[in-house]
Amino acid sequence: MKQFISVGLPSTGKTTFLAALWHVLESREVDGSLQQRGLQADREYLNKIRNAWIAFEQVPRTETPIGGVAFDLADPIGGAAGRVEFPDLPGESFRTQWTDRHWTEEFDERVHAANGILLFVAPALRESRLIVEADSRLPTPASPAGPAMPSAEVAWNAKHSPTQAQVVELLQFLDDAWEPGRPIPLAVVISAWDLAERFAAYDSGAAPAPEDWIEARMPLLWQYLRANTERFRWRAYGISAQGGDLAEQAEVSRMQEYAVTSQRIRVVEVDGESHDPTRPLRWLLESVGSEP
Amino acid sequence: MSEQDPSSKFDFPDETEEEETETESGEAESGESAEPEEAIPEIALFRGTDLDADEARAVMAGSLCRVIVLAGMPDAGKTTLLATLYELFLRGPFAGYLFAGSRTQLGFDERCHKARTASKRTVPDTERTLPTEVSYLHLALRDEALQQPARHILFTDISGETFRDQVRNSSLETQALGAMRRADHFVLLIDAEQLGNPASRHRAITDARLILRSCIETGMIGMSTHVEIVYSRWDRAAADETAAAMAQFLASFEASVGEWGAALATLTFHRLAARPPSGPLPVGHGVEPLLRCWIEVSERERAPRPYRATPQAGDREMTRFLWREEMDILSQEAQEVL
Repeated sequence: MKQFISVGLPSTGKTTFLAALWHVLESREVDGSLQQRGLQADREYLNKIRNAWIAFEQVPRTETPIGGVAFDLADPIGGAAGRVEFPDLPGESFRTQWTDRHWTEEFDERVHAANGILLFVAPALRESRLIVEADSRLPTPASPAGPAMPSAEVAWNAKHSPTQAQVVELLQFLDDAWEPGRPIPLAVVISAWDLAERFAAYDSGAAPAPEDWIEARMPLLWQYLRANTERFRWRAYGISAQGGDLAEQAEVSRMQEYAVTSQRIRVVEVDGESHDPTRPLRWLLESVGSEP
Repeated sequence: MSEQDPSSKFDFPDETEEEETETESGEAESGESAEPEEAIPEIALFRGTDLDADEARAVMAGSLCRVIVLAGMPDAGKTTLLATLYELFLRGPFAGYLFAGSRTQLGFDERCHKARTASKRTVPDTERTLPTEVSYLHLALRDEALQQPARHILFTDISGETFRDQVRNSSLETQALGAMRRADHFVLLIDAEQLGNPASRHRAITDARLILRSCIETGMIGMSTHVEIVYSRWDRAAADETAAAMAQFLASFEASVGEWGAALATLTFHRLAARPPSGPLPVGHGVEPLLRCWIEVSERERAPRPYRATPQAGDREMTRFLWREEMDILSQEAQEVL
């Protein structure tokens, strides 16, 4: 069976996605979605996060089951089947890979067994801003007007590196572990897509396609994927698992009116929009195809 | 305090980051609780900091590679140039090239820090390179049209003190810096702010000329080396009223070193303002032509050796011989450098 693994830094929407995914799989509300081949024996965690999601509450950060969560999925029409794993690694563990330069043997085994990757990124990004571009009124070193150094300079800490650098590094780690010569199918999920659209609209007035969002907002990642096109086969999905801003009562009321709960989920890809969070998983299955 | 996109006020984290408190030193303390009771088996990942000589040899042996040696006195702008180059790629494709990867992102990131608002500085600076063993920063770049495979670039980050105290003063010490022998490009940076000051310009030129001459006469650089003399911090070069005098001074300098061009592949002169304060010059002014030159021009073009699997029992003797021969060649070539 094909296996896929999910990865992503902290606060990139993995748990909310999981809650929405579980709902769609369990409810079978969305026509054409992948289906789950049998319920998990222990569904307590999934039900807990889904209950929060369905109540329009922030999905809580709770301890994932030992071994993580896995879904055995199948395409009811095409017959393709695969297993997607959400390891019991908090997002902070992926950041630790950047700072501490190691991952667990267990995760290493999962990477070696994987046929594809589900990568989560989020619109809230830690970016690099240069001092010289931050304020044109800054004193120059020759000027006596300003201090050469403030009283509380912050030392370098890898934790504060730009988000896209950390994400690229994560992919480089995966590339190192992947079998040489074998392409890496990569589905990139841009979470909180409604937020991403809102800010893109402020800038350009137009809602971007997910790949264009990556090019504009995470250009280092975009370059890396494009330059390594023989290695990474990738596709981007803008997914709003919540469906809107839960802090805005008007939006919550709007979503509460939907006749079908899954209608609040938005999945945007290059060739259309749906309510089906299994779309990236279907693409991964199709990308892997007849590989052994 | 985290450095985040201002739009983050709208984000909806479903996995809250651990609460962090900033100490006066700027180190974050996590709110995470105790260490696990049992050690979890771990796999080491590549370091991400500067490459050492062995790691650099491995890059050179396995890929289309350029070695760029940055030279110059302390504060000439060597590290600032490297940091700026990385910052430019963080923003998007640059000079017609895509960022295709780096084994030393942590190394670049640390060098960028003091010029970023995240440092809480009001005036940018660059972490000084310590006079230790020669180390390398790595960038893999690929042309935007994807017509060619990625090209790997190794940048040396040798401290200015090494050039000031060793290369300038001693031929023996110069020869000890074997990294220069493999250089495709030798980039000599001269602080243009010093050139613009009549009190310091003569010393600045003298130091630069001695460094260059020492490297040429000891054979560290020669006919297979492209040399770029770069006037760095050009934004601080000279006020308008002294620009003519400076131009004349530089013309005289360029004429005096120009004769050494016959001993080199090429000798060219460039102006650079890697990180000018707000004004007419953009960040990275002058970097693009340099980068293009570094990638596209070399006397040492050599295709990477094809991967040949380790022989197995039962392989024919010729297979084993070819494998041994290839390993020997790789080892010999790699040993010729650094």
